[in-house]
Amino acid sequence: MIYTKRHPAVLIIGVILLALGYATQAGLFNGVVKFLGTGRLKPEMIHLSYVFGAVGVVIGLLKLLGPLREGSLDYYRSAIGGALFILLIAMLVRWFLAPLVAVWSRAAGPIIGGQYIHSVFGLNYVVLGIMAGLIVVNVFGIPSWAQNGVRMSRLGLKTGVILLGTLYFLQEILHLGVASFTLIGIFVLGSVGLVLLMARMMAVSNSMGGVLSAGVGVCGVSAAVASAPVVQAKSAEIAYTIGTILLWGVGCMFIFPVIGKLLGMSNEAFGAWAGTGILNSAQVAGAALAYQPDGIEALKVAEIFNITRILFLPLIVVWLALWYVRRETVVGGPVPAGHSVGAMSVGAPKVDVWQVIVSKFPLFVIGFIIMFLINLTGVFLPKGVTADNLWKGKYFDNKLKTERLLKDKDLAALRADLPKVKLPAQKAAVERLIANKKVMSLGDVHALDGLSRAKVLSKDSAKAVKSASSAVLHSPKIIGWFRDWIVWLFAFGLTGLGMQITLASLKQAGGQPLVIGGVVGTIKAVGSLVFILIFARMLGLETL
Amino acid sequence: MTNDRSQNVDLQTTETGFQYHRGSALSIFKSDRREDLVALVCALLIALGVWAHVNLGWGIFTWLGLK
Repeated sequence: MIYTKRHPAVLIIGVILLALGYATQAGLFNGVVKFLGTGRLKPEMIHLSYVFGAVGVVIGLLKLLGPLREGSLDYYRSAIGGALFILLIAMLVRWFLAPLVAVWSRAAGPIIGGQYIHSVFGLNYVVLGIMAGLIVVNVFGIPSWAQNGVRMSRLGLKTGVILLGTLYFLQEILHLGVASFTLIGIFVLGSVGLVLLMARMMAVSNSMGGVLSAGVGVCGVSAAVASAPVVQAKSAEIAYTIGTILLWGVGCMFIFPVIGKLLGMSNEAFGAWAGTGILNSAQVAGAALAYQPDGIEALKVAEIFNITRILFLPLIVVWLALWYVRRETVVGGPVPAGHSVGAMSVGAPKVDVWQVIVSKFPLFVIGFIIMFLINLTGVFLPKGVTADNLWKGKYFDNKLKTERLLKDKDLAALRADLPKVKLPAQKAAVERLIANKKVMSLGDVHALDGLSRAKVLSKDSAKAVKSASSAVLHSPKIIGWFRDWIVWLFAFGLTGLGMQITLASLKQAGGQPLVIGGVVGTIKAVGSLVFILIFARMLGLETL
Repeated sequence: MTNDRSQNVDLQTTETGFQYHRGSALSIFKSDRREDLVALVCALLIALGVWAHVNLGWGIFTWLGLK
């Protein structure tokens, strides 16, 4: 079968993007850019438009004029149209629609606690991109020339997660590791157990209960698929589970950021909540980016929690194998002789649990770890900077120009607050800050950060401390590039994800699986929120 | 259900009545494992490209004189 269609759409998209890049570079959009306040986005508007415009023109011409032969080249070439279609929508949303919504929202005035509509409801490029995808697929339908490429969105998300490994440093992983293993351990094992219990109480089949427990407890679709062989789930049962996870995940993706905003959660605390409470990996990333569209602290925490959750997958598969054998023995009579956890045989097909784990464990998690290990070598850090000299991914350098030193009014505020500082290390750091008008060491950054979080300083002093710390902490240039790539990979992936959420696929969730998934999902979301609000400080996460 | 069959869940096939000869409704790749491998290769290429751009000054726009 030949997938490539002789259709001018890809060529037209290419020309539109080239025109967009040229118009932005020539300043034809300056009025629009000023009105929308998107001056900082101009470089990416020019560069991305030119690069993908050129790709569109070349591929578009090849599609129209080149030979069409069946095979891999045809299959993958036909996917580029859909990928460009997603990208065009993501670009229009990020550069024009989301800033326009923000302008309208500000013009309408604040609604809750001085916050605007777009901020409270998270109407940023991530959420609007997903909504645009949802509208396209459910109202207009995906054009035939784009259908193959829309299935590339998950590749974008996975590449983004792997690349995210470049932004973590050992201290952060160790710091978050304790919190994530504690929280994830409680909620993954708790929700798997709860689904199995409810399934038993509601007389749902063992295979349905098993596959649903992995989906709801671990990481959504991939966990459901990985656990399916060990509980011998039928296609319809996997489809029910995926539908339930999808319906729940889409709801969470929109609701979690609103609740987080209303509670005033820190980026770290929200990331931990999203990474624990939302069922599916893609929606975890969507909610975290929706909560903090201009930064990736929430995304980083959410993904480390999500990856920790995936690391529980082998344990859950073994648990389900044991549970299934036991249940089938009780319900369906004795298990054939010779079965074991390693080679489970209940009914006709024989399933090797270890082979299932090895073949189904998501490899992109290993990719994330590989990227993290590469980062540990220091290859991505500027010359002369070591991992010991980093604080939250930024390196310390206090060679400052005079205008970045603290002003007299800042120093006066700090002197007035000095008696309030009781801890010797923090007091010494403030004294050095006053004497030198700048932070003198990374140790002082740590001490001042602790002081800020203790909330003992006046508003003016706290502002001075924050300004002094940010003046001496610098993001490595390469990290900025990685951040941009990650943001775009997720924007692409999530817009495409919206295009895969059809109303019919959501209807796949139904009856008892939806009830069980909804009850356990709600308990997990509310429970993890309460847990984080109470124990965030103990777990090392900044809270409210 | 066998391992292979569990990969073939395709929620949208019933809606469109059409199935690609490889991949599923969610992916163009034959299996999740292959998609993960391609994602890893893409991520490594991006990391290498960014490293070369920042440290060696390589880049399309540098070559074209646009930056």
